[in-house]
Amino acid sequence: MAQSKTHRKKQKRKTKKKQVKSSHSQEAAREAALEKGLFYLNDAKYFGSVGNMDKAVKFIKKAARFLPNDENVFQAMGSIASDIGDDELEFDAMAGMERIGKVTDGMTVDMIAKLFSLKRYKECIERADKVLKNFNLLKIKNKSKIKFGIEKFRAYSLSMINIEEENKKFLKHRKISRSVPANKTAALKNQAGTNHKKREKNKSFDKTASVPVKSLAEPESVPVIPEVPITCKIEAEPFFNALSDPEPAGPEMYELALASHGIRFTESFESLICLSSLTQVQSFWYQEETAKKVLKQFRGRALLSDEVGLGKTIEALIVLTEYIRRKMVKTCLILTPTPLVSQWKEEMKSKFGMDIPTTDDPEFKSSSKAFWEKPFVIASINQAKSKKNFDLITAREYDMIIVDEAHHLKNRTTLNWKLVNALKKRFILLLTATPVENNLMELYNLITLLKPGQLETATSFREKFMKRGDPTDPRNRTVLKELLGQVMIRNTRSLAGINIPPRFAETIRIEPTKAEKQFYERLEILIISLYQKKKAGAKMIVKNLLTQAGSSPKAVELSLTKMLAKKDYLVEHEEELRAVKNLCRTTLDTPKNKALLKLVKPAKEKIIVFVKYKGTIEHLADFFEWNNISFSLFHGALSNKQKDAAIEAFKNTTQVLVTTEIGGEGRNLQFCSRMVNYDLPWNPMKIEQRIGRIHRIGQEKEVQIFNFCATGSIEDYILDILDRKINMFEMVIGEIDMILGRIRGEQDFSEMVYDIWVNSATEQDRKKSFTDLGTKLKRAKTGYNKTRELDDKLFGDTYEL
Amino acid sequence: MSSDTYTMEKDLDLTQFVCRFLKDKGAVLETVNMGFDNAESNGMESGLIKSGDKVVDILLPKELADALDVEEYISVAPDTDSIKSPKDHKLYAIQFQSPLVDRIVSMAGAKPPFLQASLKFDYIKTQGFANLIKEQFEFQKIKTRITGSGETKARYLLLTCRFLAQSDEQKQGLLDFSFNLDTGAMVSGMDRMMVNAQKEYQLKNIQGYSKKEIKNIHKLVSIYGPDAVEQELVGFVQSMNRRFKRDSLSLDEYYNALVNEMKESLARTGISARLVEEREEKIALIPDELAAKKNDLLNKYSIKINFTPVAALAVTTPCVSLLVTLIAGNRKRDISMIYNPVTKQIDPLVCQSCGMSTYFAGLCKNMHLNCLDCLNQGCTLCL
Repeated sequence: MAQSKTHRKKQKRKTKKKQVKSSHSQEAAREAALEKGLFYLNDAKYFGSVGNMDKAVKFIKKAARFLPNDENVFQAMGSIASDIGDDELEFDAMAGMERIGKVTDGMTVDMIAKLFSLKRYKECIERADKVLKNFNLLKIKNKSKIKFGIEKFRAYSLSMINIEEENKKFLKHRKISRSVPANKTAALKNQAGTNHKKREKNKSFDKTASVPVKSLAEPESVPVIPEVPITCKIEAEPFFNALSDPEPAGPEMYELALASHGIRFTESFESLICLSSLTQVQSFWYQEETAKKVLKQFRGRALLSDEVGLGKTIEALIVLTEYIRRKMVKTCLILTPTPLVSQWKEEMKSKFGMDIPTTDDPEFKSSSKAFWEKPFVIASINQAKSKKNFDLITAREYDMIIVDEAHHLKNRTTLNWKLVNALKKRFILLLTATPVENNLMELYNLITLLKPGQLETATSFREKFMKRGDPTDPRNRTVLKELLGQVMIRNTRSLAGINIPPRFAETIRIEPTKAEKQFYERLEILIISLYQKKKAGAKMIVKNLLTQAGSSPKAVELSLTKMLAKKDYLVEHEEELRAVKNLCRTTLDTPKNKALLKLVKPAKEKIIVFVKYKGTIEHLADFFEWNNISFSLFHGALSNKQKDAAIEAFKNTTQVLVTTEIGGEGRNLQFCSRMVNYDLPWNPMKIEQRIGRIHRIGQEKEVQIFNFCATGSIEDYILDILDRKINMFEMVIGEIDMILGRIRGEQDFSEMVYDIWVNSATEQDRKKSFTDLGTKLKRAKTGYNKTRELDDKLFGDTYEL
Repeated sequence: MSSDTYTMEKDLDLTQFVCRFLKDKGAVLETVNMGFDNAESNGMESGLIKSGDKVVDILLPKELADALDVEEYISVAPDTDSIKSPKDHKLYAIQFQSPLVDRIVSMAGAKPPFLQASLKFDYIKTQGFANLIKEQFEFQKIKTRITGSGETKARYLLLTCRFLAQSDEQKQGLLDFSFNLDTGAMVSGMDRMMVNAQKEYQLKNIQGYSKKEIKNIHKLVSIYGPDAVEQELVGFVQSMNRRFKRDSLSLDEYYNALVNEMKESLARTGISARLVEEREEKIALIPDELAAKKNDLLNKYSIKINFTPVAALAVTTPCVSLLVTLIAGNRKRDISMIYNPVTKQIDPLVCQSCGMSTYFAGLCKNMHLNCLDCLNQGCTLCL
């Protein structure tokens, strides 16, 4: 017992000694680690400052190992990471800060973007969910914008995960079973002569397989559905018939026999003969398949209701071109809302090589009777339905009618509906992304235009398919689906595989200098006096001068020089013109240019600068040259060869591409993800076209848009409405058109802006009118969103290809 | 070759097709207002007739006119609307699905044509085969040595098949296969490279293939067909899968709702025990009914593919036969390889286990030539 007591005491002493020793050694180790960590941190900072980034990264990582709780280390790590653009390291730095509780709210949000760019989609979703849950508590600016961005990241990550899963599943099931022994099946991979090609083939097969993805809204616990079985049964008899007692043929007959099969495929619309001639349009697979379905199954009468931005116009024009090539259509009337007439003309001319007369042409105004006799016409539906033209149009026959924004035909009591109903036609295509806005009867009215009787009479339709109390919730869905499926196609973005990273916009308001203010004031006086003298006659000039003023003084100067050369202005105007022209002479160092330089210089990333006027291009070219920034110029005056060279130079060597609106149309610019609207078109569709140059299929990074405007300018008001009020820059392509369509009536958005500007007596009036316009647009956006949600709920992916 | 690429590559011109067909069948053609002289026959051969040209007058042999159910003297034009019809004879429109075109197309493709050709070459490679083997082939643990070479003749079959994939809807197209009939190797791309070879067509004394040969050809198409058609049907298969999934999900939705509705109805008061029992039995049957309906759907959307030969070109060509010794350690095996002057490549070898053509081969323990897959899985001849 005593022995054991002594033993215990001994043990206790020993343990205590050990503890002291170990605490000493721990202390020493801690000190050594601290010392080492600080050493590595200093080294990392040093190498970072001398530009040896490899070493800086190496040492900062070591420092983080030794000083895992030191804020300075993670701050240095973050700064090194951002210098070299290493997203992974930057994320590690932020994660470190988060771990030690030093993370800011802004950083938490940034971490989502980082996870997204690192393609860690699952983590990105988890983090986004976490942030969104407590979003109200975050102390950050631009909350609504950031929330929208996070939601986009989340949705995009979800779709990427779906794609990956779909790919995995597809690869698992993709082999075709065949009526040959199993051992041969296994050996198929090793096909001779095509081994290399085969690999490529498989690659492209997999790629295509990745295109269709599940809808984002699809619930996560979807039951597992097998792939459809594919059996390849090759009967021997036809081989014996063809090869044992063959039909001798010469080379001519041989070729003709092969051609005869090609003709049969063409006749059955198995193949489209127009595609080879469409060199200016890049049609997507779903657009071609849609066209085939319209031709083959719907026999040229269809409701094309693809989601916004998928290219319904292209689909309709492929169908039209195909019919023309087959000589089945020799006359066609295209009906659109007035502001879209020019857009259709442009699209048909540039992409399909068809120059079609429109109701915008002077010829229409001079002789409308002769105009309506033309075989192909693009007409404003308002012009077409007017008393003067209604009878002229309905008296003749058309092979084909295309109605864009066909939701304007939803009401059968309107003149729009009556006109289309009265038209004599063989084929008809109705284009709308929102066939139902408030009531299923709207859909009935549209389908009845396509195929009268398809949904029986209105009373019968109501009885069979509509519920009392909720006119948007159909009953007998299976039957209705069957009937609609015979006339309607509605492709979704998930089917088309369009998953473009989000885009973000930033408005950069620039305070004009005293001299600039003086210039704008004098110009405004000139504009008002021109407007008061000529009113409607001066509209074009006034509008041009106003937009040029928003671009650059150089652009105004060129315009004024031309005006003076014409010499058809009154003396006092001439004097004022000269005075304003003198004020146009500015230095290159304008605040706007300085702001641009701030964007361009530090990032060293490629950037596209969009401008509207040649004068501004020249002005910017001088500015970039002066500041030693490499740039390429792209505008309409260049030959095709020069344009190619400019794009090539921008891709490979130069940092900036300064381009006019036509910049890069049809050219791949997706390697660049930043753009500047140096000036701002008044027409939102034009702005969207600019964004569409880089925010399109193939873009891998999030797109950053910088909008420049002078404080208090027209562009400032426009941006306030489009960006702040309705968030246009972050919408899906095509949506702005749907919203504008709800407010514009006969007037273009730019016309509305112009009217407000010239008709406001005071600055306050102007402000109020713009606020009213913004409210109107916001209301239109809410209405559009509601309609879109309803249509999504009603149709979903049921009417996809 | 899909139907799409077919029309794109050959730039199908209906008028040209009709004129060539009629001329081949003995008709005499004369172009009117076509913008070139002396087009009676030369124009057709040189392909001068374009769809934009106006009218072609045609004198048909009686039998052909009868077969086509038209008069012996006719005119054809791509666009009859803008042309005044001649007084003494009938003008036919050459448009897709017009009756005359339809009959001509049917006649042209009624029976698979069999064309025989011998190829001639001014020069055929005699050296450098060792390098070619090195470039083209990869042998596993084998050294190769060419022990002899000599010019010989090889038989190839360039077979065009129409594939028809049927499901909820159908898709068809043409596929080309080129086989070395002596070795059974599939020679990819030979059909495209035939354009450069001098051909001598044989129109008389045409002989078909023996039963054994046809069986072999059928077997080859069965082996290579499924993979070849896979590429053509990517979109089609995806579309059918999408529809199947969509319909399956809505079936699930419908039956779930039905079950819920029926279960709710059980809770209603005043229902007799018997009725409850009956309804419960009905609910219990729903999973089976759902499974049956899903099976119906699966059958509806399952894809069945068939191949039919539509044209055959039998080619005899001079080639170089190479005697190659494969050396694996201290064991040797002699094989023969064919240098194909059309592709300017050595034809692939054929795996003795699976019958597939291959450029990656090895020898099994019993010296059977196997592709790498079969070599890894075990030679079937040794099992």
